[in-house]
Amino acid sequence: MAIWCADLALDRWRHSESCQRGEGVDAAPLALITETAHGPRIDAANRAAHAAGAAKGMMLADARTLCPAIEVRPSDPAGDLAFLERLALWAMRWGPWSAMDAPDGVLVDVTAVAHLFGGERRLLADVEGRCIARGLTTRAAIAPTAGAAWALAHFARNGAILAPEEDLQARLADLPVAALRLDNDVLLVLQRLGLKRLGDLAGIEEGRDRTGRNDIRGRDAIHRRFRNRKSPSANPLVRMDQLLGRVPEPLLPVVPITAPMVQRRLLEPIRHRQLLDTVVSDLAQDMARTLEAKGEGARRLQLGLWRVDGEVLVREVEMAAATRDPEHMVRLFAERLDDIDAGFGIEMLRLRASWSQPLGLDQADLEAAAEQHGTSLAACMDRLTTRLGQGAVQRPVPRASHIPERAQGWQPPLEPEPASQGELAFHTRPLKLLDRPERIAVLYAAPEGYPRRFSWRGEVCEVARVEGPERIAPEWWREKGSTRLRDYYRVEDAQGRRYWIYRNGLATDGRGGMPDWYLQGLFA
Amino acid sequence: MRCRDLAVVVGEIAGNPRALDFTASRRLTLTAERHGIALLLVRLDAQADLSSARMRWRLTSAPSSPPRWNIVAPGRPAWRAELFRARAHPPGEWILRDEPERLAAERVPDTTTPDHGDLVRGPGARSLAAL
Repeated sequence: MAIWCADLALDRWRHSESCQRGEGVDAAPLALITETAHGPRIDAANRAAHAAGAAKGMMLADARTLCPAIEVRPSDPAGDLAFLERLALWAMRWGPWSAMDAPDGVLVDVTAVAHLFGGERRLLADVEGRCIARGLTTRAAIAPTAGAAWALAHFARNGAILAPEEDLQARLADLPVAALRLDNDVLLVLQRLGLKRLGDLAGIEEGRDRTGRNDIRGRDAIHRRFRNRKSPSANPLVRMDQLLGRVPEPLLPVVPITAPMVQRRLLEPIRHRQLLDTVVSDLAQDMARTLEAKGEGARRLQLGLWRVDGEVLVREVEMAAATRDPEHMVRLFAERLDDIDAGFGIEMLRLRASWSQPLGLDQADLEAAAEQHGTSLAACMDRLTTRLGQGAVQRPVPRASHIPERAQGWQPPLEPEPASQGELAFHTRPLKLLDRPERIAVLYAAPEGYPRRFSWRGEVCEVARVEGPERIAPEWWREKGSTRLRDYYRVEDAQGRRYWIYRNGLATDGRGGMPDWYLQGLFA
Repeated sequence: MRCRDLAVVVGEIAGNPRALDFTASRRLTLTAERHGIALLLVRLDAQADLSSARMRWRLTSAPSSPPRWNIVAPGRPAWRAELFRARAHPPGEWILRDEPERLAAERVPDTTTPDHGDLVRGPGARSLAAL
């Protein structure tokens, strides 16, 4: 079922002015306008303005010459869209799911629900009655496909019903091609080709010309003209197939998501921390109950504090694992409430779980002592994160790369480890890797040979033992072609200090002059 | 450290920060003992100051044992560990070697070694006052 709000913007405006259609303020010519680069343009005009000659899409200056008395108000497309979303949710009273059809329509799936309203005709009558009660001018239609319902709602008489057993093509043949939901430039092309009705286009599609003889050329020509247009709204053939149900047309249903939320309005504004803690702990209890009823645990909690003077303070904590333990919530928020400036007092508190995950009921530990002793790992992570800041607590994970600085990455502490291939463990890697390799001056006997002595951070190290090279080729799929290979050496000096140094490139590789030496890691 | 899921906590601190005074180290020691969690504090470039740690080690690098097949290559790591303050043990000095299966300790003077040294690792040539 498609519902078309023919006059959505004006209906909203009338609702805000609380006047009936054609009465009060609405009796005079009026237009809703948007400012464009070329001056104000009319978005919607009421009946009186239409009678005076104003139309949608016209420049306001042109309309003023036709009707000097026209009044203007700014239009509100964002508000219209938000209203449409609420309308789509409301329209779920007639079917299991509904989808927004921006800018001014709603599609409702009414498959096998019409009998609940006493048949399709009475369903449409119900839609019309309820929409009129809300002050909306609507046209609704029921058809087997969303495209056909849209076409009927916009271009057939009000309350059109297309039963599944009827011949879709015959019913729709007289509708204009604009019923295909196409872009304006495509409509212009079709108009220039002389294709004005759906019947014309359908005939060509099937390879018939207007007199009924077989003629494949027309179909080929249309197909060739639109062969590069993949978007359905730019390709009449795809739209035609969607209209007739030959290709599926996925719709995005509007689903209401309500985050668990609890709030306390306070009789007397609070200014002291002790009272605030009490209220927060009450809220946490309420929240735990709400979450338990839904079988969920919170991952992110937002605490909003409404002050008497109109300011709103928001504190947010994020948990490493889903939880609904009120004590844990209170403790996390207690750390974040130290810098609250209560001003003249806080009159309302609201706790909202903006991200929650399913969480089953846990089996308590049989041994009571194990429950009482210490905290769980997730709670520990949460406390550390709240104290040290977002992203401060992380854990290293191996990554698939031979380049040492890319061989590990960081991720949040309790995320599952990504799947990785087992590494062969014969490479010796240092315990510590410097953030970036530090350049060292190296004395060597031959450019390709072992290093003899190097200086790092102002200290000179005599090389006592050395092993290498371990050659690591650059990752050509990631780096530029001029990147040089690395020859790694494990080096130990006379005191037993062990270093990991590398030579960046070879003297003869043709990617620069003499290679530089770097120190990258320290062994234990 | 009050978390029951942890086995060992390793902290690494450079220098002698003002926050880690005797009171702080005492609180750390008591918490670790109450919850039965081993706490190892690796202190890089630090001077040995007041601390309530139960065992305090000074760790420096030592020449590694020569590997069997390549004489000129660095072998398995070795450290020179000095236990300079401990409550239940007399102080002493050891050479620790990282053998394939275990941590071997050769004593420089004569005492038995508690097997704690394998967890206290630091880069070579840094003075360490570990707990």
